[in-house]
Amino acid sequence: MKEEMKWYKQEGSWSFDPPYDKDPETGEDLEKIPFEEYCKKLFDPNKVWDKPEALKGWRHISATMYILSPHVGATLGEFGAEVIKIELPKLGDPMRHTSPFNEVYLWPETDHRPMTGTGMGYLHANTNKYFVTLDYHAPEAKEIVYDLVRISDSLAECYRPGTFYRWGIGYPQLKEVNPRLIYIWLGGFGNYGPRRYGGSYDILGQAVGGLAAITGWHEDFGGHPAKQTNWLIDWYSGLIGVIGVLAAAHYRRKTGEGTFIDLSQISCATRATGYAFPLYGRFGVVRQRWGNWDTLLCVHGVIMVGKTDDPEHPNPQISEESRYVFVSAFQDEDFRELCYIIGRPDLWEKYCSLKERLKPEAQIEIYRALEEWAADKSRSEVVEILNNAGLIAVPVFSAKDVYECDHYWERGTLRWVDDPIFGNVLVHDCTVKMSETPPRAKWIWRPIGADNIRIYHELLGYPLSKLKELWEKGII
Amino acid sequence: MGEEKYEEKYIELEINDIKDTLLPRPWPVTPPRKKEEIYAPWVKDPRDPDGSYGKFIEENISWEKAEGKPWALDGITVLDCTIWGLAGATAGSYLAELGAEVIKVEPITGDPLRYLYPFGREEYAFEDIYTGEKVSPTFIHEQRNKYSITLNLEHPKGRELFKKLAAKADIVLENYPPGTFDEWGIGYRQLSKINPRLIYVWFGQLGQWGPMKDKTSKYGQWMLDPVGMAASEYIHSTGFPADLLPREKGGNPTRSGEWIADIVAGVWGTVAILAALYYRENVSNRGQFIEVAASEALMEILDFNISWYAFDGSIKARIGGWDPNLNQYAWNPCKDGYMMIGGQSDRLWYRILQVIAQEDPEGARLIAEDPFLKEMAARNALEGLIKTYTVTAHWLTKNTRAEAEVKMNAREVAAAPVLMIDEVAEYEHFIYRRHVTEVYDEHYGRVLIANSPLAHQHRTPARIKWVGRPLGLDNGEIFAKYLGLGPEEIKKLAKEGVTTWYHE
Amino acid sequence: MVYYWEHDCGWVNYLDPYYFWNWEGKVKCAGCDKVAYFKFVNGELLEYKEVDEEADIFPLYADNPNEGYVSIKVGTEGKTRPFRGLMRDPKTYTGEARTRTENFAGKFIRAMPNQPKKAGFAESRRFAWIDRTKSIDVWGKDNYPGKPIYGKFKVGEVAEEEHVEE
Repeated sequence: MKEEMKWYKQEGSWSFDPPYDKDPETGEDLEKIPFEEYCKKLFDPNKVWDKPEALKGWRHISATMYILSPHVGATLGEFGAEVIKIELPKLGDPMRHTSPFNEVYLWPETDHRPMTGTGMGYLHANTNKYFVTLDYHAPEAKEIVYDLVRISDSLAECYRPGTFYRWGIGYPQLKEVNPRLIYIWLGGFGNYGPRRYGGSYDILGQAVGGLAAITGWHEDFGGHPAKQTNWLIDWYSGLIGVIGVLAAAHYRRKTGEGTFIDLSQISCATRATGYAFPLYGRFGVVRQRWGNWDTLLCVHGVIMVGKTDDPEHPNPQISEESRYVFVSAFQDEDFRELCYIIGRPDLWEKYCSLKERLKPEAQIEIYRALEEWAADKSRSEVVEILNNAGLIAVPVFSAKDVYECDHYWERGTLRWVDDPIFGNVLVHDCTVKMSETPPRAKWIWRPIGADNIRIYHELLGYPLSKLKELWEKGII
Repeated sequence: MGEEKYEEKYIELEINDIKDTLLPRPWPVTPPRKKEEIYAPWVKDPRDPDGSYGKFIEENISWEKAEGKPWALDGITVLDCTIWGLAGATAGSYLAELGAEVIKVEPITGDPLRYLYPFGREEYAFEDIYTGEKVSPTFIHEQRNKYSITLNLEHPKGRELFKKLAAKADIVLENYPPGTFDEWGIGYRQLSKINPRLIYVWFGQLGQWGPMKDKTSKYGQWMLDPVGMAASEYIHSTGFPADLLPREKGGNPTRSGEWIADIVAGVWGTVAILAALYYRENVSNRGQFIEVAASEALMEILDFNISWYAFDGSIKARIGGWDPNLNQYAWNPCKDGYMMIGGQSDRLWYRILQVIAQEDPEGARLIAEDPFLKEMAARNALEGLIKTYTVTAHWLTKNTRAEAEVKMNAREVAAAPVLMIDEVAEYEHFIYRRHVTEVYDEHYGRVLIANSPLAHQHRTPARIKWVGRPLGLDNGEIFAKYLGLGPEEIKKLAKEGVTTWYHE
Repeated sequence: MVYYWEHDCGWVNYLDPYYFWNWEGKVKCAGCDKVAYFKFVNGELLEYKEVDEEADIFPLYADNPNEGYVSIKVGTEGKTRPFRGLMRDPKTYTGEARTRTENFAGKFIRAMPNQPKKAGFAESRRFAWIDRTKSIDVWGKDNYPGKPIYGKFKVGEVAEEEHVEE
């Protein structure tokens, strides 16, 4: 078998042939070593750059804005595709001008806003892309897009339904130019239906999709629906878009046919509501919010403890807010142990099966008892006591805790990128660990139109004089 | 008069038990408008003057045209051995919706998720029409298009059979505590020798190696989802700050209602699987080992939070339904619920203001005049958020969600209500597009279920064939197809405790 | 009613929607220190009367439209309540501009021009004092009103009266 499979071994690659008997460098027998050592060898973050890329040779056009649709390109880019991001001249992606409380901008300045650089909001959705500018409105732009599409495999766009079609670059026209093109449209309400023209944002998807209705504290406790932080549905729907593109690529390999994918992020949010719809359809029960507790398991929730580990720290996020612990003890033995630790054996006698514990009144009583017990302890004390007893308790990490956690650094999840333009920027990288073709972040982003010459001149072969002409017209 | 009648009706229902109220809901209560009605204004619409784009989409992309189209992942075989968590289940169901043959390999007692009912209420169980076997709605939601077989992997014979299955499979998904499969001799180390083309995926909360890897409690309890949410700082930055809602009312860090870290990990896993599949088919002709930790998967999509801390020591705080990056971009309470209004560019921001000014000129003046709120980026300061949203919410007190939605949409502002689950199921647009759909299942009857987001495609739309299978239903078919075992042999194995026989 | 306007003193106190949606108690006006009793149910103001008692709570933010929107910022002692859900040290919200930013690896990331203390929260209003009526053609020129002066001040020092809002 080994002989047969020689042909695909890549030059200069660390990866080795199956069966995975020996480490190619040290000759160590991989059969014998403990499983954890084996994993460390396979997923070693230091070896990431020696390994091949999964999607090398795939070319993707990202005619996108904000987070949802650029994330498709960024993910493909991390897996090795060549991604060309098209932005409007001068202004660029509006996300470049977005930053928390308008504070965090990286140099360099853009020529539109003399005072700012590019905001943090742009981070991670535009990794590994090449940045070109193009004004689609101009009549010359159509031919340029056709030229790009002819040599590309997929295209993502996010403009309102029919906009690209009106400009002559919609799917019906592009599939004539390149029948192998996988065209994905990402947005809120989709390309057809009564509200197809409605604009959408991540938070809108959460609101209408039903995810907001099940997140946060119940109104009986005085609570309101809470937003899933950080445009979560944008990012998550972008990933579903990647699933669509790659599945279509698998199909295209067999048939040579491209496709059009109409992805609605609201639908993605609806897909993440778990048992809500089966329950409503069958029993007419409308799922409600249940705060920090779990509807399926108990004890399995977040509790507040008395104090933080560093009450003197000037940042209130550390001195006041880092005081929550996630406790999980839903199996009977675990729960019994927990009740004895907190000095409430009566709770165990009262609620000795999961079914009993899950009742809303029982949950309120149990979590109240836990918080009372923890009221005079700090976060690390609570976690230590429970972990020493062999139970599962995890502190609710803040960004500081994540940053200081060795686990993520050792696994290569957090990494400083020494960007040639922006200097040191921390990125989360290697999200999924892959033994052969791990994803990786090469650069975070580039200035607007930084790769115009690389793409238009070097790839498409337009003479520089033409580029100059286009630039003077304000098309690129 | 009307009230009396209502009361009489109420008494007639005779609710003596919670079960008396648990009745199936008709769906949809209000059918969506006809296509001709919806598209009538389209013809005059300047965005699509001749209606040709709308026609093209309706004829090619609509879910109604999905019937008879091919499946994208036809011919891919997946063994989904995950239990407890939702990560592997999600990955499996995404693959299954796209046409892969996903075989759920369960212990002979079944995946514990089958028996986790909301609030422990067994009356919420879905019953198999033939046997009356119960299953929870959580489980059923992620088992679409999957076959179910039972295999006791703790039994040596079960492992042997599993190895034979894995030799013919393309993808294996598992989420047992780190090293369990390896110990049993069916980990990646061993299976890759039998089947070098195998793509093997492990799902977990923190990882199977590293200083803080997944652990079990001393009684063997697994780590399950909110671990991933807690360890990725997702919980820390979700929820209301104590300044906007007192702690006793829920001004706490809040977890997502669903096991979102697991779901995200499942989606990331699917992306990695398809990338590995692409690489296998086009380049290397062999599989690989993939590891997906829910905390890392969720952290990746928490955009700049960690980078921001490294940038200047800022820690992303929770800010409720608002957003520190954009103004306006939030939901706020209104007369009958919550209303989301978004639009941060000058053009949209002032359109929102125009709507508010119609009914609350005083409030609109406070925003329109303020020199501090003139600059798009400067509105994001905390004071800008407080001021804008206070005035907007004041306008919303006088408006219901439906009224606000109509008024805002008339100006093409992205605005939408926060819908409860039943309202989502009844929202006209979603019925029209089948975001939620009704599947008639052979075993569970009529089930309302969230449809795949990838259901609207030109060539290979995702579809739901069935919603779930009773435990071990497909033992006969799968064992015969891949292992050559007939019913008699399976029954013999069932007696040894290796598998089960559904019809017995 | 979620915000209220004190007509006598002209200050507007912003009672943020979530906190005061269902709420009952006494609030002090940040401008004139008058205390009033409020009862909100579902965002509707049901009761309002001026009282002569201690206030339960301060508003988060207040401004005065009659005096060019001069404002009392979040966390002003005795006027507005602090916002503890801050992302950074409270210090950095009180007008100390950070002209130089270094990341945790100790590398220089970016710099920003000095700005007047009255611009408020550091870095959050750095456009307010540029004359917004000027077009990009004006900004592009060498000297325009409010152009930041580089290199004149030491690190951490703030230019007090250099850039006056027009």
